[in-house]
Amino acid sequence: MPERMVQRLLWSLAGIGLALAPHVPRLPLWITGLVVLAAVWRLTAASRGWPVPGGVLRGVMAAAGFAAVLASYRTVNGLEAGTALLTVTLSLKILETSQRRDFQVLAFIAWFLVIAELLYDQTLLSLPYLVLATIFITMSLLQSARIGPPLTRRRAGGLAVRLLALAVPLAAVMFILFPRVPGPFWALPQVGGSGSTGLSDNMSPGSISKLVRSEAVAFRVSFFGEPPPPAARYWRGPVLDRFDGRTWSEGIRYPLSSGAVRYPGSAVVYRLLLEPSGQPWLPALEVARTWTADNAFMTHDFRLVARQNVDQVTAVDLTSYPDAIGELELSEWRRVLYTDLPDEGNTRTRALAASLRETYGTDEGVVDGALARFTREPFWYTLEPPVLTSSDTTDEFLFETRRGFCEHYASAFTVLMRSAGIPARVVTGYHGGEINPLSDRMIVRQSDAHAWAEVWMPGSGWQRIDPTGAIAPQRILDGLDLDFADDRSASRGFGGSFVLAYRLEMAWDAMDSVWNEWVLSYGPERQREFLSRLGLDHPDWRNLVLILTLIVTISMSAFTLWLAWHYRPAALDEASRVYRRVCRRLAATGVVRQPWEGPTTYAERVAASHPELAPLVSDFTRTYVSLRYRDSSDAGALTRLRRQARAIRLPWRWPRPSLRPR
Amino acid sequence: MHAAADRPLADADLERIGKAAAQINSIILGKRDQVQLSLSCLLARGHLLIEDIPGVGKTTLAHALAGSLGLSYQRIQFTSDLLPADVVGVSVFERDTNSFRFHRGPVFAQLILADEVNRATPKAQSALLEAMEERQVTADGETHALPEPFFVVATQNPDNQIGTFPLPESQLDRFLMRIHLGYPDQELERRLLQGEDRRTLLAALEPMSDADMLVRLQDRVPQVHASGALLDYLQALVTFTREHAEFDTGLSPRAGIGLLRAAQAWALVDGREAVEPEDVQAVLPAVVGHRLRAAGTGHRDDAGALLLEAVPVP
Repeated sequence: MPERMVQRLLWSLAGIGLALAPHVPRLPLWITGLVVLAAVWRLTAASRGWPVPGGVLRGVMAAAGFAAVLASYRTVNGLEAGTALLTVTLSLKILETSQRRDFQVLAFIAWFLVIAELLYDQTLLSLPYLVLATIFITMSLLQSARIGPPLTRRRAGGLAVRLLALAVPLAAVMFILFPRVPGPFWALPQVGGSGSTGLSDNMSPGSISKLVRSEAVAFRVSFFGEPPPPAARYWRGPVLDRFDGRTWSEGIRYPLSSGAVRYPGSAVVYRLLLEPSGQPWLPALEVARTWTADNAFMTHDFRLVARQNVDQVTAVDLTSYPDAIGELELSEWRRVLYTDLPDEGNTRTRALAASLRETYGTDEGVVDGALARFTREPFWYTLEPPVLTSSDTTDEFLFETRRGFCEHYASAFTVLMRSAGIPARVVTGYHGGEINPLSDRMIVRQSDAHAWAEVWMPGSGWQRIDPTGAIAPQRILDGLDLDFADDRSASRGFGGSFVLAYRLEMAWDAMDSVWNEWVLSYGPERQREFLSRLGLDHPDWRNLVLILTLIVTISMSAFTLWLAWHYRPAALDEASRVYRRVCRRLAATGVVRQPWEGPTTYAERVAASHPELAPLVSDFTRTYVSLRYRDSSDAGALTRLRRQARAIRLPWRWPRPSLRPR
Repeated sequence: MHAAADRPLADADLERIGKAAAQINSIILGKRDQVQLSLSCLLARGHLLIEDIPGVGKTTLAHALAGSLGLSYQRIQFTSDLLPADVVGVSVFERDTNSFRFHRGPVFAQLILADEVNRATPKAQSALLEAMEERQVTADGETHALPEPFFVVATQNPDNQIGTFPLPESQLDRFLMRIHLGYPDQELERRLLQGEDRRTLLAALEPMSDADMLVRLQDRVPQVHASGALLDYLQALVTFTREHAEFDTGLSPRAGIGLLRAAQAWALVDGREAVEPEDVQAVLPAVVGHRLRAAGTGHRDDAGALLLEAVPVP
C-alpha cells in the first residue's frame, strides 16, 4: 500500500537527513542536491505508485555518479572524496529503495555517515548530536523495515535505545582492545586549511601576539600532587637560537647527551592532555626527566619533541624538575653558536651592550643592568605594538618605539646579551595556566603563549630570564594583563558579576577534559598502560585481535544460545513422537512428508504410491488424528497407535531414507 | 476427501446439506471446493466475496445456492449511480396513517447477491457492508433486524478493470472468504457447451434445506472440536504473517477467529466432529487471500499458498 511505503520512506529519509546534515557544509552543492532530488522523486514515486528505475538506468547513474565524484575530487580515495562517494551512492540507493533489505542498507549508510563525521570532528560538542542521530537512525530502521503497522514513537525510541544499550558492552570491549598502532597510520588526515595551531618553529615580531588572541585550549594538565606555583609555570616549547636580524628560528634538534642535566630538588608529576596542534612540540614543564610518549625525545636544549606531529588528542605522563641545572659546561662551538649575530646592523644595540659591559663588568652585572634598564626607561607593554619598519628591528624597538609584546622583549634582550658576548637564546612556550576548580585540571590556552630568554652563566648553566616581567605593571596598555595575572577569569571579563557563566564554562571544560583524557587520548601508550593494569603486559596486536575475537565470539554465541533456549519449540507429546518416527521410516518409500503436510494428506499420498501400505498407514493415521485432533479420552488409543506404528514395516529392499525433503 | 467411514456425524441435517451441495455441483461443474467453501462460509456466519472476470459463473453460483438452500433471495445489481436507499430501503410518508413508513429495501432477504459490488460508489458499498457487519439496518432512528440466516454473496470484477471502486482493506475484511472460480477445463467446457442452458437448470432447482435447518447448523459450527494441537497450528500460521517479511501486514485477531470458524464449518460440512489441519488448509487461501498483502508490490494471490508452505504442521 502506497501510504505505508511513503511512511517507511519518510522515516528512513529523516534518519538519513540527520546523519547527512553535518557533512553538508563540506560537500559540493551538487551532491546534496542529488540526495534531496532522489528523496523527493522516491517519495513522489511511492505515493503515485510509479516503479523504481530499471537496472540498466541505475547502472548508468551509478557510473555517472562515480565519474562525477572523480571529476570533482580527482580521486575517490581519502576522507573527503570517500564521503562524497558514499553520499552519491546513498542518493542512488534511495532511488531503488522498496524492499526491507533496501531500508536496512540505507540505515547502514546513515550509521556510516555518523562515523565519518567523527573522522572530522571528535569534540565533545558534537557528541550529543551524533548519539541522538544514531538513536534516531536505529528508530527509523525499526520503523521502515518493520512488518505491520508502525510502532508508536515512544516505543520505537525505547526499543532503539535498548538495542543500542545492548551493544554498548561489546563496543566498550572493542574500544579497549582494538589494537592501536602508533604513528600516522591511525592519525586523522588533516582537514582543510592550515592544519597546525600554536607555536611555530620560528618567531618574528607579531607572530605570538596573533596567537594570544585565541582562547582555544592548547593543553590541559592534571597534577599528581601540588601544582607548581604560578611563577614556575613555564611550559617549554620551541627554542630558537638562530637570528637573521628579524626572525628567530629553530636550530638542529640534537638529542640531549646524557649527563648534561642534573636534577636536584623535588619532582612535579603530571599528565599533559594535548589538543591536536599539527606540531611536534610536547610543552613540558621545565625540565622534564621522564615521559610516557614512546615517540618523543629530549633535545639538547631541553625540550620534548615528538617524531610525529600531534594530530589528535594525546595524553602524556611526565615528571619534571623545576630546579634542574642544565649544561654546566658549554663547549666552545656552542658558545659561538649562542653568541652569533648577523654581521651588520643594530649598531645602537651593540653600543648599548658595550657600555653595559663597561659599566658592570661581569655577566651577571650585564644581565641585571639590562633588566634594570627595561624597568627604568619608559617601555610599554601592548598587544598592538607599532610595526617595526627598519631593518634594524632591535634598535628601533629599544630606542624608538619602546612598545612591544613578550616576543619583542625576549628578542631584544637576547640580541643585547649576545652583543655583550653572553650566550643567550629565545625560548617560546606557554606561561601560566588556570586551575578548573571542578576538575582540578589546569587549562593552558593559546592566549598563554609566551616568549622568554635564557642566558648561560658559568657555574649555574642556563638561566631563565623573563624580560617581559621587568616592565612596570602600570605601563601595561590596553588593560590586557594576560601575561601577568593568575586569575584568568577576571581577564576574560567574567569575574564576579558573571559567576554563573564562569561556572558553566568550567563545567564544560571539566567534561571536555574527561572526554579527552578517557576516550580521545586512548592511544597505543594509554592502551598498553591500561592493559598492563589488567595483567596483560606487552600485548602485541595479534594477541589483542585474538582476545577480541574470542570475546566477541563467546558473547555472541552465548547470546545466540540464550535466544535459542528462549524460543525453543514446545516439547512434543508422545503421540507426535511416534508419528514423527513413522514418518521418518516412511520416507524410505520415497514419499517424504513435507513439514506443512497434514497427516491425512500424507497418508493419502503414501497410499497412492504404495497401495500395499495403504491399510496400515491409513489405520495408523486415523488413530493419530483422533488422538491429536479429536476430543477423545480413549485411554487405549496411545497403545493402539504404538502397535499400529510397529505394524508398518518396510521390506529391506527400499533404499536408504534420504535426509533431505524433496 | 474423506471416505464414508470417516463421517461419524451422519444426521439428517448434514445429509440435507450434502444433497444441496450435490445439486449445486450439478449446475456449477467442476467447482466442488468452491461450493463447499461457499457452504462453509454460510455456516460460519460469514459473507462471501467472489472475485473473477465476468462470465465464469459467479451469479449462477449465487442463484444455485439460494435455490438449493431454500432461502429468500434478492439480487442487487451495483452500479455507479446506486444509492444507499436503493439497498437498505427508504421511509415514505403515507397519507392514510399520516406518518412515515419504512419500506424495506432488497437487503431484507436471507441471501443477497450483491453483483459487481465494486462498481458502486463507496457510499453505496458501505451501506451494504454496514448491514453485513451489524446484521441490522437503522433508518430514521429505527432499527430493523435483518432475517436469519443472513448471507451476502458479493461478486466483483478484478480491481484493474475499468469503472471500479476497489473496496478498501477495512471493508474487504468484512468478507470471511474471497474465492475465485476460474475457467473450466477442456472436458467441463465441452459439457457446458453440450448441456442444457444453466437458466433452465436453475429454474428447476429444488430446495434441499430451509432457514431453520441452516441456523441449527450455524449454531453447531463453534462446537466442532478444535484440539490444542490444532490451535497451535492455527496460531503458528497467524503469527507467521505478523513476524515475517513476506507480508506487509499480519492477520488480525478477527481474521484468526474467522479462520477457525471457517475450518470448523468445513469439517462440519465434511461430517466430522473435529477440525484437522487439512480443514484449515482447505479454507486458508480463501480466508486470508484478501487480507494478506505480500510485502513490496501490490497483491499476491498466492499469499495463502505461500503461507501454507512456510508453516509446518506441528
